[in-house]
Amino acid sequence: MSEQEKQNPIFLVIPALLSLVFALVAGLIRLPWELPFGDNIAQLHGALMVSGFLGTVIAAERASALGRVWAWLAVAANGLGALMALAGGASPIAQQFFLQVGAALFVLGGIGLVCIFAAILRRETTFFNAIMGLGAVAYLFANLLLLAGQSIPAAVPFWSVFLVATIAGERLELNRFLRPRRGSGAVFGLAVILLAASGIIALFDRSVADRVMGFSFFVLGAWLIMNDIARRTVRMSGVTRYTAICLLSGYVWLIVSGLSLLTSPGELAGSHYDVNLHTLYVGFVLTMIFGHAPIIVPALTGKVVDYRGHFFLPLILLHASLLMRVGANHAQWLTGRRWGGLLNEVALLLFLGVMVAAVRRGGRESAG
Amino acid sequence: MTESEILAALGTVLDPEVGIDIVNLGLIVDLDSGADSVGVRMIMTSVACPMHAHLVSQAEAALRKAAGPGVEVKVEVVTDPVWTPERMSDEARKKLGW
Repeated sequence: MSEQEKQNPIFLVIPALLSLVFALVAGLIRLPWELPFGDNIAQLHGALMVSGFLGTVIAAERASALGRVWAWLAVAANGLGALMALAGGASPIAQQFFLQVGAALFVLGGIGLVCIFAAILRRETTFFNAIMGLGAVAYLFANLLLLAGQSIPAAVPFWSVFLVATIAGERLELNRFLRPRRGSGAVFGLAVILLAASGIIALFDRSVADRVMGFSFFVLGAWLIMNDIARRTVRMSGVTRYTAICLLSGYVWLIVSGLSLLTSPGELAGSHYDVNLHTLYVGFVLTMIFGHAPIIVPALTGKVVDYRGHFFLPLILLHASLLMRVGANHAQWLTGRRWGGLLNEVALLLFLGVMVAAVRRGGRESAG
Repeated sequence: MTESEILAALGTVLDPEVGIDIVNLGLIVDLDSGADSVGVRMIMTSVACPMHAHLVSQAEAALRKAAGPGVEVKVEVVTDPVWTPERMSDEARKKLGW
């Protein structure tokens, strides 16, 4: 048994995977595709994807880093929240009860994630940890809104701050490997302040909040393209190069999402809302996951990921299908949007298949 | 194992995100080498880094492979000193454009 398996109760991440599967089903129904089941979970797509899947996985990543047993309680609470939300989606009775309990558990998961970052900041008080901590606070806030009975679109700005701050903080940490560039820290700091401000403004005026958030996405995306270590590592080889290409392409989508929010602020439904959301959550966040999975899976599970060139196939399909989805939305071409969204999901499933095959080929690292 | 043999073994362990090995990144703090044991203390670049158990496993596996059977290998993560960019080797800095 490897060191990671001894330390990490990785089974706690299983609800996140279930949540992902049902989030994809819910996504199909919303596009809309007619399925013989699952109508009740269509409204849960965002909650299952962000709080159920990403919240649980990110909490596991941080609990693994902190190396404290209590930190895994956040993962457990979050995962249970996902199961309760799924029960709410599936159950013909007491649906509201399950959803409320699920939201309460997501809130506990959010509190746990904030505590994890408080512990990390106590050990290491740095700007990049503070940014990731800000993301955790936004995540808690999003879940509190769900618990208070607010709609999914009301929670979206806080989920967005959570994910962008978490990723931006990580990239800033890795930026220390590079020679500091004059003024770049100030620009990054300004973009993060705007990002945090957009979350607060969203409570009062969504249209203004979207503009501020869009501007911060634009600045952060441009900053990352110009300053991230991926600019260097893209010249290397193997998995390092693959990760860098994922990252750089994801930053382009962050800029696109920023421009979309700036030009179509305040949307809560419809084609522009679809573009505002999925350029960020599919274009930016999923490409970050595609890029980091070969690094994080060994870190969490102790399994070796055997990298091969065909890792690029799901990435190419993801970008192509998202381009199609965005174009179709702008052209009001519903069929194109439906197929683009479906192919987004195919790309994600293909990626999962590629990763499972790579882990099976790689085996355990302790054998090495 | 000699110090250079230990460092050569550890030099095969890459940080996958940066594409540079843990010796050139300056993560190795000190080494002990006895007749039938090898001890390594290393740091991480950040406490929020989830890679530490993975890098420890990789480093131990590389040392076991180089040392052969009968040698006890122990890699420990410490929090002091704190990693700074100055710990990177000239070779790593050159690769990263310093």
